[in-house]
Amino acid sequence: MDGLVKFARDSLKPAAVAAIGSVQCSVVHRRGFASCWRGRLQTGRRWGFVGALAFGVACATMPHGATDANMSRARSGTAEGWALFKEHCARCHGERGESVSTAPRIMGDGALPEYPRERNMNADPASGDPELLRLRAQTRPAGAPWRDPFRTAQDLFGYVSKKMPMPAKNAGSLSVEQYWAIINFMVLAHGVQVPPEGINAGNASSVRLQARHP
Amino acid sequence: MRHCHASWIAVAACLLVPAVAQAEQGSAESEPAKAVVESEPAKAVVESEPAKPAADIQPAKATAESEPAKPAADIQPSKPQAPKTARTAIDSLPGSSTNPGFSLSPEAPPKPPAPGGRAPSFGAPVDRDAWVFRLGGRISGFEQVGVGRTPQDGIPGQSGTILHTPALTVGKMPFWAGAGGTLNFQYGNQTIMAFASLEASMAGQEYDGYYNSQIGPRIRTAYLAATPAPIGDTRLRFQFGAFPANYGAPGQWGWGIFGPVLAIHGYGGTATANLDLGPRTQLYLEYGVAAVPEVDEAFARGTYTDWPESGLSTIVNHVHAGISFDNKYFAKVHLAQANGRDLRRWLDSAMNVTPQDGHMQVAALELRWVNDPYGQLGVTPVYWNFDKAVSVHGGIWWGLDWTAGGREMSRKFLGSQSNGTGQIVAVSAEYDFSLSRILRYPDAFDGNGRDLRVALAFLPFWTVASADANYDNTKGYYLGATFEYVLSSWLSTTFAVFGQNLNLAMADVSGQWQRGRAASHSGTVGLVLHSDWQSQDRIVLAYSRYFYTAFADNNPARPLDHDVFTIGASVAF
Repeated sequence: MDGLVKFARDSLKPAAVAAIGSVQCSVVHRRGFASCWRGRLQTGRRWGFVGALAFGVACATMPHGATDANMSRARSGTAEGWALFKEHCARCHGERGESVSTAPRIMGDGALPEYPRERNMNADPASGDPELLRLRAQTRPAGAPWRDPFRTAQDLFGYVSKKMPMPAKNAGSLSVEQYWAIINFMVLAHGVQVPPEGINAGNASSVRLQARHP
Repeated sequence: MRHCHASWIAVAACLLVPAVAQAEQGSAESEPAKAVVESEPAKAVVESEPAKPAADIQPAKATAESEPAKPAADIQPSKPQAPKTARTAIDSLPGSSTNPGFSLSPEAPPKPPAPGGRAPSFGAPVDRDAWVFRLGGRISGFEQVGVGRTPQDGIPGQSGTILHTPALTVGKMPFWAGAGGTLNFQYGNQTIMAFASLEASMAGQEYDGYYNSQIGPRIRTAYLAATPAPIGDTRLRFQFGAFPANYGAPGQWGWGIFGPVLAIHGYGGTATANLDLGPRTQLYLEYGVAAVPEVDEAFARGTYTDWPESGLSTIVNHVHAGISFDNKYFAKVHLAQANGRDLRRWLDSAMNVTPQDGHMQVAALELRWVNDPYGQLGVTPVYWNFDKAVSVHGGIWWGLDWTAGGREMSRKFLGSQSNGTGQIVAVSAEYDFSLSRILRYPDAFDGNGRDLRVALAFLPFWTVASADANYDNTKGYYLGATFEYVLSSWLSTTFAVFGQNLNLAMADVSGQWQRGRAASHSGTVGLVLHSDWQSQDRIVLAYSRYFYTAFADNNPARPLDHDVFTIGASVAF
């Protein structure tokens, strides 16, 4: 909730600036909204362009995925997991889990959210066919998100061992030990503290993935 | 036997809990359990070392970022290591770009392609970089028989029970009546994809489809979509062609009993951006334009050929913005403006009526809360403004309760004398939940087991202004509730209640307008057969009982059916 409040506060800033600007235009400068804002926009266009460019560059260069420290810790912590991750996962998700394709980011800030992102239903070829959508809805419990929540390493294991590696023909093709090795690497690189003996079936339910986001 | 309480929730819980217990014990008799034994991950589970007892586990090191480590004694003994149903899911989730095999459970293992390598199989795997052709779709056939009554002033000598097929009813039908299907063709890779859908919908008289182009086989959806790799925190998607775009539905995954409050269909495109504002917050932006172009018509088209042209061109601009927090809370604003241009020049000469252009605006606020395991709640307040909107024909595909365009919305909710001018406000709400998912929490119930699936929807609306005095400042509602008790992997029982209560004005034989409430309520019980817990197929046997007000069942020469029997089947592939 604190995050939501902070976000709402940050979001209100532009609105506040616009409101203050409008008041300045109409009261202080005694000018109409249109002429006043036209001048402001002409002045601001240059800075807007520069800002947009900077924003784009910042977005494009913003570091994603696991940090150097966590990557180092994960590589040394489970060499097998690192090797398996490179072989089976990094092609789409990137060696740091930063995503090098349309695959999601899976390590580092913002990755492995508890609940899945909302899917763009209009990107679904079934979106124009209500009956087809109704049939597809039967594949999940009513009201449930399209995948189960990632709360613990056990949840992550459950998903990865069923659905990965891609392509789908390879899903479930690794051994349980190999999946656990990958999970160990991912969780370490994600920045979550794991038990000294590593994550296994016995303790995976106690390793919380969201612990890094207080 | 557990003690069952009187309330229905308790009864359902009592029915479900033994099933939960049975599933947790790993019943070897059920079909899924067999599959677990046979599947690869399950074997691996057997081969792996036994779980360590809790006492052997060292506590995690506590850091500032992680939660305090639990003492070893607090750690629960290990549970089964592999997923409870280790059958391989193949990206079959709703919204997925890939489909499971033909009529198979989504948990079914993927099948290899056919020999020769030219035709990928149903459920074939996708390489991220590969160009792949896919075939999918649906086949449905629902036939209803309504038990009618002998009409007044009927055929001389006519007596006995009259059967109607399709049934003669008013109000929401629990099934999509008639035969139909879609055949979806898809070709592309993860970056660019071409799609076309061949559809047929033949409600009632199946042979209509051969000469009625509007309900016969048609390609209504064909588009090209581009999804480039993410740019930093921004994901983009572009789509061009002829396709539907749906917004503001409060139901599960953006759909629901009463559908989207804004659906746009035409030739055009959309550009969508999803931007990560932070680890827990995402921004969604979309802009689109769609057009339904027509040509000037110098004479009225006859209906004998069922020309689809209406002489009304429409262009729709729509913009959307939304924000999500923790992927649990969603808020989106949808705005659309449709401009209709009346090209029926024959109106001038033949009917001495000047063609008029019309406009229609839609504003909706979509709010959604995914409160797992308690289900998801969606609420969408929506406002429609119509200005001579009888000239807005295409473009706006669906509005209030699957009603199309400005012309149909005007006729149904603003009145025939409104000329399509007025305003409507509505609130569409839906709550979906799974009782087993609640009862099994914190374990995640994935649908493979007994369950009670519930959807509750309510859609009140107000015609706050209308140029038709008989509809001005009136109100109405739609309601719906569906319950499906999944008894076994092959059998479910269903119960559905639907209702609507609308304002209706009719001219009597003397030309005087009579105003009343046209209400229809129905209850439907049914049996559903399916091939697996979550398979995308079903055979339905159902009985519905309809109740009408006198103003709804208003034609003694054509009395509505009260009893309706349905048999039908659907399969998605």
